[in-house]
Amino acid sequence: MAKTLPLVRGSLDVLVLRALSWGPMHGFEIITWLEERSGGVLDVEDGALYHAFVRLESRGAITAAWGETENGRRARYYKMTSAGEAVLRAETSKWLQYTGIITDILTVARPKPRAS
Amino acid sequence: MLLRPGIRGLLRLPLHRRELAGDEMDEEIRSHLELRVAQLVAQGWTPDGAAAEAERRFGSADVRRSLRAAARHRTEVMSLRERMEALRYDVRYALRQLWNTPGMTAMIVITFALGIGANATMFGIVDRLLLRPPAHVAAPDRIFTLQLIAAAQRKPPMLGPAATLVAGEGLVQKSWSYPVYQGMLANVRAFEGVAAESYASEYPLGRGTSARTINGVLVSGSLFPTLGVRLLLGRGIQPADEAPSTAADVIVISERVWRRDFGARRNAIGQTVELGTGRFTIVGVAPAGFNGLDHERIDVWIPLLAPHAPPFPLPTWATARNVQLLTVLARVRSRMTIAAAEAQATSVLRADGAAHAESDSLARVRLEPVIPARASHVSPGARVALLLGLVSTFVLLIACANVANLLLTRTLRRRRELAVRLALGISRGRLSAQLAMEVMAMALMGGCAALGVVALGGRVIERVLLADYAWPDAAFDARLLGYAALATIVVGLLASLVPAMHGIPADLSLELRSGTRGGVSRTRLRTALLLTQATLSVVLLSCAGVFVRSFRNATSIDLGLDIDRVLVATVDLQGAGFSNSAMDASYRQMLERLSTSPGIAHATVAEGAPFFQSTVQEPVSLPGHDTVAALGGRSVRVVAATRDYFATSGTRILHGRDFSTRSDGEATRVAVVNDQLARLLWPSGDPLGQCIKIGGPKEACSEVIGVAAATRTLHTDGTKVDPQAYVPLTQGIHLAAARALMIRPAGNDPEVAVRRVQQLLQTTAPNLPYVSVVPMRTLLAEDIQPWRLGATMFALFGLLALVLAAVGLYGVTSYMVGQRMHELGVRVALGALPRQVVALVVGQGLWIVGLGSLLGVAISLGLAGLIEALLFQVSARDPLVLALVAATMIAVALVATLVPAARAARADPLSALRGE
Repeated sequence: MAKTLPLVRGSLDVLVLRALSWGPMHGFEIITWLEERSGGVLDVEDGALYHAFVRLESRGAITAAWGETENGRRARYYKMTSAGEAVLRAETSKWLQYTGIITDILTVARPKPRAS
Repeated sequence: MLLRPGIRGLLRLPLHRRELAGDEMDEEIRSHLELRVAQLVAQGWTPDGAAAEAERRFGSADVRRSLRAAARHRTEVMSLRERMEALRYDVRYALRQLWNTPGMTAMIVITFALGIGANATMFGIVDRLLLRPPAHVAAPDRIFTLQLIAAAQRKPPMLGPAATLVAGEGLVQKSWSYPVYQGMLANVRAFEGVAAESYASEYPLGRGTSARTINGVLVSGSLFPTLGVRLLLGRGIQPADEAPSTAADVIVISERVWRRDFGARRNAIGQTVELGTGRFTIVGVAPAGFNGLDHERIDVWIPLLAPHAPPFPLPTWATARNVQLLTVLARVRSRMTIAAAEAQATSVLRADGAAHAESDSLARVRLEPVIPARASHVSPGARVALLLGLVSTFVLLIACANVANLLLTRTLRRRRELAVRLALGISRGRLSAQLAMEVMAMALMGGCAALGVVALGGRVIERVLLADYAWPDAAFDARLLGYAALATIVVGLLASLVPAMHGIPADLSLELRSGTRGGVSRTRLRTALLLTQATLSVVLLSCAGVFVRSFRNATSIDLGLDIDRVLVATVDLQGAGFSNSAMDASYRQMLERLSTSPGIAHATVAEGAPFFQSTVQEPVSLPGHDTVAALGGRSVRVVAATRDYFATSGTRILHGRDFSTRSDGEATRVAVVNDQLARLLWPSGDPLGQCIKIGGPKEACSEVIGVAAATRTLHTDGTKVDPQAYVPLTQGIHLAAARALMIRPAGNDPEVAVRRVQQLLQTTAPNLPYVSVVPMRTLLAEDIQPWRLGATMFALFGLLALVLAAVGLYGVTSYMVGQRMHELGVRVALGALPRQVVALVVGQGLWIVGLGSLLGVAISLGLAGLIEALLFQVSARDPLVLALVAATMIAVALVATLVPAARAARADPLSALRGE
């Protein structure tokens, strides 16, 4: 098993929205998608994912309804709302800006010490 | 993939929904675990191992608990948001609907506005006349005025308003002498404070052409402290102002005068004004709207014992127990019961009576609350106002019925739209809420517009009908606004019941097919509403009718003198410090001036003439008798006047002569008696040449030289003819307060001469205080006020009700015609004449209104007892009025139904047949 990384605070919501941008999914689908995409590196506790659903649902970013899986199991499907799309766009650009700046700072060469 | 509709459970109770959300979360977690186990097993895990691994990956039991809680919280937040959203949507939808039918909306809003406005206006009046305690009085429920209840055979006061005889109680007197007030002040321990004030009257302010009058009262030093009034500026009249050693010429002025004459400047305190015979220093400004306990507007408060206070008619007023001119009020200590306080005051009164022969030893004291609604007797004006308040509620109900009817029409017109929306899945509850919202929106708009009606109506009533009352300057206050808001909500809710209950289609399939009509129950409801309107309108109009007749009776009655041809001029010479001889000289000068002016037919100076503010009552006896049995102890009204009195007033001399042929200074005493007195004193003999003793058996004889026609006085229950005697002015008692000039201008209409006569008199001498000239008719105004108020307001409300009923009938008939156009077309196609179609439509409306009129007449007859007492010489069951009202109602109904009937007559047979 590969070594896992803990999730950066607040990033789970935007990941869920990204997953749902392809269409309605149920909770387990989303979590397996995340595990596959990250090659199992991201350490997401399953319960935390459901907290994210609750958060997003009460913000109006997603809606939920019961449906059936391809195998005939009952599952709760989540669907992104138009408000959710806006959240996803905003959060994505914020994330990119954030990681860009952090990367810049972390990779810049150390300035020369001043001559005395 | 099938998603179940998300609106499921929208109307379930929130608590239920919360539990459901928790259960759903559990189910979701279970489903997640199952999927995880299946995945792990597929990857080669043993079932037991897979289950344990799935649990581990999901998290601890705490995670599940917190998830369940979070889900429940989310549901709460979201359902609240959903409901707000739905509300916002409904409001927007309602407003859009109203906007789409502007005519109907306007009609309903106006109906609401008129109904609520009329009702709120009357509430304002009833509130001020009856419910509200006097302004700026601290703890008004502990303040009482003192009334004296005595046996019926009580000696009347020498000066002061006579007691009124109240059935079951005896004589009730509201005025007291100064010594008795002092006794109450000193000896009744139950009273925290006792105060006295005189009747309000006009006092001369300034002199000559700039002179005018100011309405004021003389008050005891205890008045302001007893009432607990906080002055706006300076101090009130204090007990020290009533103590003989410290009394000074000081006054408190009203906020109105302070603003008008002193520009609301603080330095008004300390300034002096010329009032009556003295210069008074302003020491305080009363708060705005303070008028003591009265409704009358008071502008100045003067200490009773100020050195130059306007004098009372009799100089002995401060010591004589039979000069009763003061209202006495008291604040009862908070621990004392009213009965105990009354008992104490009564024993003080009786002790005083035992000590002074001229006082009462058997009378008792009653404490009368100052909040009019709690008082034992309500004034006729307030009674009429109360009745009108009730009536305006009637009008509001009519408006409500009207709105309900219009709404029903409106909703029925939209039935297809509503049916479609129902078919598309909106719940009935939500639809009802939406319809109710539309009605509430209209009610609110109507309520806002009603404020305009209140402002306008209040001003009209204030100006035209209740000019003497001291109204506050603002048209609205918190109580009135609160009432209007309450009325709006109640009426809105009532009216919204109708479309919510009857407007929503019950059977969708029936509605969605075209060409269906409203069911039987709805037609019945509409008929009932129309019937109610017609009935109530007839009741109101009948009231209006009998009040108008009362008013006309009261104004057209023959009072025994030409009230419409005479002007009355009063001038307060005594208040301006004139001596008796200077007063006589001034009146002579004024008479002189009038007699030499063109356009004046006759003029006289008279004391105590009919309808004057003050009257003179004197005992009358015959030689050889101490009392006259026929008079039953009553005193006789004595009018003292100069020679032209009969020519001026128009009172006819029946036998003998008047005193116009005599000169004023002649020594023999003469009198003219009215035929009422003549009949009482000499039932069979000839009064001419007889001797009567005016003023008591010790007085000298007056020779009766003539008999005059009786004059009448007005009372709420009819007219009264009192025994009366006329003597030359020089032989009267010289009561300056009862003296005035009567002037008969040459023309038919004395009103046009008012200004000219005022200027003539005012310029007679430069030192005259303001001379007030009014048509004699206006002296009667207060007496006929209740009928005037009743006639005007009932007529207004009746008219309003009639208009509302007509609008309602028109709206409903139009709608029915619209609905039946097809049927009518078929009738025309089958050979019905336009005349027959019109008769069909009109007949339906007339049937309802006819029945309503009958019911209305029946109710009017039943309720007649309620208003009988308020009428003047007309029965509340007056057949003429009832017949006229019913005829009016039917005529209006005819007009209201003819217009839609004409449209029905043009029903097109072709389109009807094509539709088949």
